[in-house]
Parts: sequence; structure tokens; C-alpha cells
Amino acid sequence: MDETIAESKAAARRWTWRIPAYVLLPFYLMLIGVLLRYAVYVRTTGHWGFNDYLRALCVYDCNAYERLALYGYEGRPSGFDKGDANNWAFFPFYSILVWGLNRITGLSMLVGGSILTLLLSVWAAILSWPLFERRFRAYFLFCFFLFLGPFSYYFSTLYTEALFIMLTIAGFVLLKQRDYVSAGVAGALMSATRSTGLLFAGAILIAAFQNHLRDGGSVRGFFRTLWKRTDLLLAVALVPVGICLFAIYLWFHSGDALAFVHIQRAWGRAFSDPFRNLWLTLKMQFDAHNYSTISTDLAFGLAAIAGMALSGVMAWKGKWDWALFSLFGVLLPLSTNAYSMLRFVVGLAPVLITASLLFSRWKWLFYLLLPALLILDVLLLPTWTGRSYYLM
Amino acid sequence: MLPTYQPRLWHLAVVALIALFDLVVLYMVLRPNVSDDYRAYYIDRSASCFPRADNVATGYYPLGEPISFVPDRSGFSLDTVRWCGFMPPSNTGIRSFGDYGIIRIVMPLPDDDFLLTFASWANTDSSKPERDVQVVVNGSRVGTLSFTSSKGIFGRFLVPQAVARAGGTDDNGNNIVLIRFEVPRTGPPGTNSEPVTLQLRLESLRLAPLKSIPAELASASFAAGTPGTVVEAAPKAHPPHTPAGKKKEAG
Repeated sequence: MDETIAESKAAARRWTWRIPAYVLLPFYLMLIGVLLRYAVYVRTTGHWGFNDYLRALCVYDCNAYERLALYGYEGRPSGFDKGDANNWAFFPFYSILVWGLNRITGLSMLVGGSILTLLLSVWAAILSWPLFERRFRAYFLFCFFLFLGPFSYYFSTLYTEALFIMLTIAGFVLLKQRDYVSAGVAGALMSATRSTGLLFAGAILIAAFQNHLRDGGSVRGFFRTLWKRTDLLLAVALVPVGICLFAIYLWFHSGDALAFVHIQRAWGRAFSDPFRNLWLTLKMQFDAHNYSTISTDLAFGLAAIAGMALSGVMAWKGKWDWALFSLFGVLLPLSTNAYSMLRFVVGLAPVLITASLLFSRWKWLFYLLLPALLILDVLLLPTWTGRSYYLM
Repeated sequence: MLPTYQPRLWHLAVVALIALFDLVVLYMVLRPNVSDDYRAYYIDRSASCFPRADNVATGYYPLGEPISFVPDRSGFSLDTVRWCGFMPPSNTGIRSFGDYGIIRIVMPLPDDDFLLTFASWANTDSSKPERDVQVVVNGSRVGTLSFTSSKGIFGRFLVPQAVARAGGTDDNGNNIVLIRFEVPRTGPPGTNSEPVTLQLRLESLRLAPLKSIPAELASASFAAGTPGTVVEAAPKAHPPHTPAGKKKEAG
């Protein structure tokens, strides 16, 4: 037998073996996660209804996305105690998908949306494999975090995190493959999902620049040939299309194309110095002489610091496209307020991937983290269903 | 080896279309087609509250009746006059937020002066500086409430007919009376950029034509003959202030 053929057969065997490993792993973990949390729910509440379980998981923004899929965008703001809120702050793409699934399958928004979120998370995990550069332990940790970690709720109910992470991962994989135009399309969908999707335009340019240097090109050479790079021009132009379509809709609906920005006043958000916000958030509980607990404000501040620190790790590793996308992905929401920083940081795929790559370097840490994440997932379920601000 | 790039015409054609599309969006961003209330609150941020819709806060009020802002207490209880800057009724009354709270009454007014009375308290105590709340009707100041403790203040103010009618009329010919309580700022803005202000609580309010009030009450109220002064302060202890709960985020 020819050695070359034998080698390719061996490679083929390896390849076929890998399909269940990295494709089925997220499925298995997702199923285990769903069953585990359902069991915990039944144990703590005594209710067996699976629909009740999904309803219990659907807190805060989940309700907003569900209503958005059911009824579309609301009219004159009248929500909250101040009467100044409505659902214009919520970007449309995720709810459009939930609505579409409802139309096709007849499943309720809650059930269909929950299934969609879980499948998007699985898809995100599978797509992310090329970004782990064959480091299976890191990949395993990433998947474990998504489906059995303390923030698994974002990836189980009607939240945009799963979709946004999936699109972000798709975008960065396409950038790795130097398919900039397709990456731009992914960016357009990202900007229709969350405002931070706009940041992907910068990531495209940085990735192209880094790829040029990797090919042996010079800095000057990159800018000299930039005029020929119509693919880059198109890719960058595509990214804001999603948010622009939303702006046009809002102009016709409310008269204000930037209503999704202005309505943020109802959530106490206004643009200011993100580092000042971070400082105020970090010191708030100490100003109140609270030295015994970690307040939600402090937790949000620490999450922002963790996000920025991991962005620094990305830069140190030479992944500048990931680094700047993540850094500004933290700073943009932080510039309006520190609330929900935990969720915003967890919603950044490069942060999760970098953390997984980092923490899986040491076997002992990897094996320590798995039970720790699992215990937190179980313990935090009642906290989540109890509508804690911590996890928001 | 460095790859070579060839400009593609179809790339440029799509970019040109997107640029046109972006110009349309830019026009829409620069030309919002919104009401003055919306612009003042959400865009300019010059207003500290966004008025409730006219079909909800209709302004309807049976003139002279006491309005209760505490559920299950006697009095007119429909939530029709709480217009802007007051949170919904609760067992502590309606609480102001921002720089002012406005009660709006829409009805035909008789030819008379009016007596405005209300029960109020604020989130302050005797360890803090005196906090003054201005009471302004249709743009004219009719009095000041001075809070020096957590005790309640029962305010009574004369509203002259000319002031009561200065708010103009709606399409149906009803007079509009805007009763605005302007509260002081008590701290610098936090991370939400909103100033920290005194929180005024109204438990009840009444606007009555002077002729309908028994003579002895009216004369007692205005013994000093000077409209716009608090003539009676009814001490009343209230529980310590608890801050409002935060809200979740959009995103």
C-alpha cells in the first residue's frame, strides 16, 4: 500500500473521529445543561411543567424580546414608573428570527425562542472550533461555560447573547479565512442584533492589516494597496447596514431614527467617560461603608475590568482584531452606565474564547473550573429566576 | 508571498448603493420628526420628565373634590391628573423624580379664585439643610414649602383666578391648570447623568373654588392675607426614605 494513501486514510479516520468530538460535544453539553437546570427547577419549586420552567427562566429582557416578537415595536413610551420606557431599545434581528420560527413551526414564542437560542449557542460553539487552533481542552471549557456555566441562562432563554456570539464567531472565522465580504455580511447581522455589532467594522480593517503583515507585507504597502481593496471597502460598508435599517424603521415608527439611543434614558443611560463610570461603580459600596459584601455595582465594575484585562491578553497574543473589538465592546456600554456589565462582557465571544484558552493552559485549573462552573450554574438558577440584578 | 488584489466593479457598485442608503439614514438622524415633549426629554434632555399620554392623563377632575394618591383612601382616585414627574400612586403617595413634578387639571373653571391644598412630605430629615419646594401654577409661583424634617407639610395656597386661567384652553374649551412642584437638587449626578433631587411625596391634593369653601376655613387659611404662603403645617412622621429599585437593561 502506498504510504501517501495510507496517510490520507489515517487522516480521513481522524477527521471522521473529530466530527462527534467537536460537533456533538456542544449538543451533549446543551442537553445535559437543560436537563440539569430543569431538574434543579423541579427540585426547588415542585413544578413539573416544562413550559413553567421555560417561563421561570424568561426574566427581564427575555420578556421584552418575547413581546417584541409577538407585538412588534410599541408606540409612545409609557413603561416603568417614570413612564418613559418602551421596547425601542431592543434590536430587532433576534425577535424577527423568533417570530419567523413561530410562523413556520407554530411553536409559541417562548418555546420556539428558547429552542432557537439553544441551537444558536450550539451552532456558535461548533463554528468556534477553528478559533481554538486545535486546543480541545480550551474548546471543551468554552462549551462547558456556555451550557453549564453560571451564565448559561443567557444561552437558554430569549436573550440576544447566543445569536450575537454566533455571529461574532462566524465573523472572526471568516476573517481568519480572509473572506472579508462575507464577514461584512455577518457584521451587518451583528449590528441588527446589538449596537456593539458596529464595532466589527474596525475588526475587519485590523484583521486585513494583520493578514497583510503575516503575508510578509509592510505597513506602508498595506496603505499603498488599500485603494485596490474594494472587498474591504464593501465589507466595512456592509456592517452598519443592519443598524441603519433599524434606524429607518424607527424614523417611520416614532419619528426618531436614533430612538434606540434616546430611549436609553429610561434605563438611566447617557454617554459619558467610561472610566469615570467605572470608578464611580467600583467605589460606590465603599462610599456607603459596605466592606462585607460584593454589591451589584462592584460586580459590574469587576466584570468590566475582567473584560478589559482579557482584551489586553488578546492584544498581547497579537489578536488585535479581537482585542479592539472586545475592548470597545466593554467601553461602549460602560460609557453609558455600568449596569449589566456582566452580561455585556459574557456576550463578547473573543472574551470567552480567550478566557477558555487562558484557563485551560493548566490542567489543574481546567479540572478545578469544571465543577466550580457547574456548582455556580446550579446555585445561581434560583437567583436568576428570582430576578436578581446581579446576573443582569 | 503577497497576494495581489484586483478592484471589483460590483464591489464599488454595492458600496455606492450603500452610501446612498446611508445618506438617507443621515437625513433621518438629523431631522427627527418628533413632538416637543419628546425632543425636550429624550433628545435635548432639557426636561426631567416625559408627560403621560393625553388619553391616559386626561386631566379630568371633579373640581373641589379631594384627590387621593394613596390607594384605598377616600377621595377621587382615578389616576388622571398625574401628568409628569410623579411616579404611580403607592401607599406613600406619588413620588416626584427629576427637577419637578406636574399635576395637570383640565376642566372648565368657574369665575372665582381657588384654594390649592395638599398633604406632602419629602425624603429629608432634621440633620439636612432646609429644602425648599416651589409651587408654581401655570408659570406663576404661588408659594414655597420648606422641608426641615421628615414630617409632613399640609400646604394651602391661594391661586388667583387670573393665574388659574393663564394655562390656556384645550380644543374643547377646557381650562388647563398646570401645578408644578419644583424640587431642589441635593447631589451631583451619578453614573446615569441624572441629578439627584429631593423626592417630594404628595398624598392628596385639592383645588377648590374659594366660594365653595366654608368662610371660617377660608379666612383661617389666609389670615395673613398673603397668597402663596403656607399657613398650616401639620406634623406627621413618615418612614425613612428608601431609594427606588433599579431597572434592568436593554440590549
